Amino acid sequence: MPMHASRNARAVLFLWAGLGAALPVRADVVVDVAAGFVHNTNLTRAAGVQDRRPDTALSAAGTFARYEALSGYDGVTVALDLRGEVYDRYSGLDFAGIGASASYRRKLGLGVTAPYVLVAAAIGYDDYRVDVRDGHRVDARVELGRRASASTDVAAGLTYDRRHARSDVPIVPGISGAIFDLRGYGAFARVDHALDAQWLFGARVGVRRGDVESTAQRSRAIFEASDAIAEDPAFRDPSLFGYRLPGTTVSLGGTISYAIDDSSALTFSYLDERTRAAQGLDYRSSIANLSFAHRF
Amino acid sequence: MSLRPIVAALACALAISAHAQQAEVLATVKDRSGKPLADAVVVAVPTDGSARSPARPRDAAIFQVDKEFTPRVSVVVTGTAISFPNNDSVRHHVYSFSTAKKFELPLYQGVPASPVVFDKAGVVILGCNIHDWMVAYVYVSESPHFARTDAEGKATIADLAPKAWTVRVWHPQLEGTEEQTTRAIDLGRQRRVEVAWSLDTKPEVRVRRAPSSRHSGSY
Repeated sequence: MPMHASRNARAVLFLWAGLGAALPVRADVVVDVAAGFVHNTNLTRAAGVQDRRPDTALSAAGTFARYEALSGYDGVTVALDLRGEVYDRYSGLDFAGIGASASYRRKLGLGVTAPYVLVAAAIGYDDYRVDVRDGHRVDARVELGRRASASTDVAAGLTYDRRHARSDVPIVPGISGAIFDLRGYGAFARVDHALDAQWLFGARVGVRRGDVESTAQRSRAIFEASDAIAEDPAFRDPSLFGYRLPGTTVSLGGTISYAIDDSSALTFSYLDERTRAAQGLDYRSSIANLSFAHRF
Repeated sequence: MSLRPIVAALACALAISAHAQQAEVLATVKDRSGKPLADAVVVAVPTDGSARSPARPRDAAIFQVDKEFTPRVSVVVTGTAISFPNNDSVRHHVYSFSTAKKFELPLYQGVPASPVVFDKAGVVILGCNIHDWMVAYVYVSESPHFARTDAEGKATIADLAPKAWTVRVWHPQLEGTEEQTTRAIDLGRQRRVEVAWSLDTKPEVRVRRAPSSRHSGSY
């Protein structure tokens, strides 16, 4: 791990330790681990068929979280998460990430079906094999939800995401090279339905407006639409460059989860993302994920 | 000559005789597929309405262990005081808004100072406002004659007077009403009666489960 990545990881750890130390020992402690496979049909997020690069990765994640009830109606969670992916073909996309998060949740009443409000913020650092993708990330979310019945959860919310690129190496004079300096705002709605004790089905729809990064061959259209350009060696193709351009992404996802027991679940999820950008540079990605999760 | 030994012997003989006349109900509760139902509550009520609760019901307790209530189903007679000791290291906020008993024990650890008196017959559903998956049931019976089924779906109500009774059954997953399960039995004729129920049940949905590990998109 490079020096800067180590420094960022330490900063995340210090932040989490500070938040965690503020909570008394009676806090709920939850340790989650997950591992699985993820397949993305368009890792380059390219509009043209010739530029699309699909690949499959082995993914792993772990979360150590502490929850402290402030009263019978509200509480705070602080969490530290580690995650990483190792790709089959494009090893430049391999990454390890560390993050810390804090959230406040308040139930607006008593009982299982009482609605709740959740405010969450997370920071993290992702260290990729190719430096152009390294950077901090900040995410924030406000969510309103409730259990509509004994077996159905519904929620909707607003999101903000910010990714700070560590690398800014312009290749076109006067145009930024920070292609992974991204910012976006979004909204989402989701519903989860437990069919029985084992089977859980979920659906999610989201929309996000903001910067997207697309890796593609040079063209007048993408040049005019983008406001940052840089080399992106992740795909080992010198004809491909990374571009930052504004766009609107609509995502539609589904989840099927099978509870093996009270603490383990096998989950398949599918996410379809369609982004509309300027100059007709629309792209589509499909992300399929199969994972095993266990809670200690 | 002292009459005391004779009176004692007579009382003993009467007690033995009375006990010999006592009857019992052997209940078996299954679902429609034939699977035994544990934690079903079987209640016997005399048809002449003569059942009386004990002068002072025994106290009971429902514990919180590993973020679950235990026992999951309790059956008590009206007027019973139930305490809710929290054996977990984390705090719980126990509540019920069932018609038979509304109460709230704000966030606590250890044993609350006062137990809760369940003074009205009916089913009371308990929850924890922190851990939404925690659920327990208290069946508050107007009759002191009841039993809870074991893992084989079997329960015995003993020491019943030899006369006419109605018996009925309740279960957390029961589809329909408890009254629909009512049966009439006559223990005046038979001292030992077997009653079997095959109940329509609704599926139990547990919400305590591992995270489903969603994979988010990327930009």
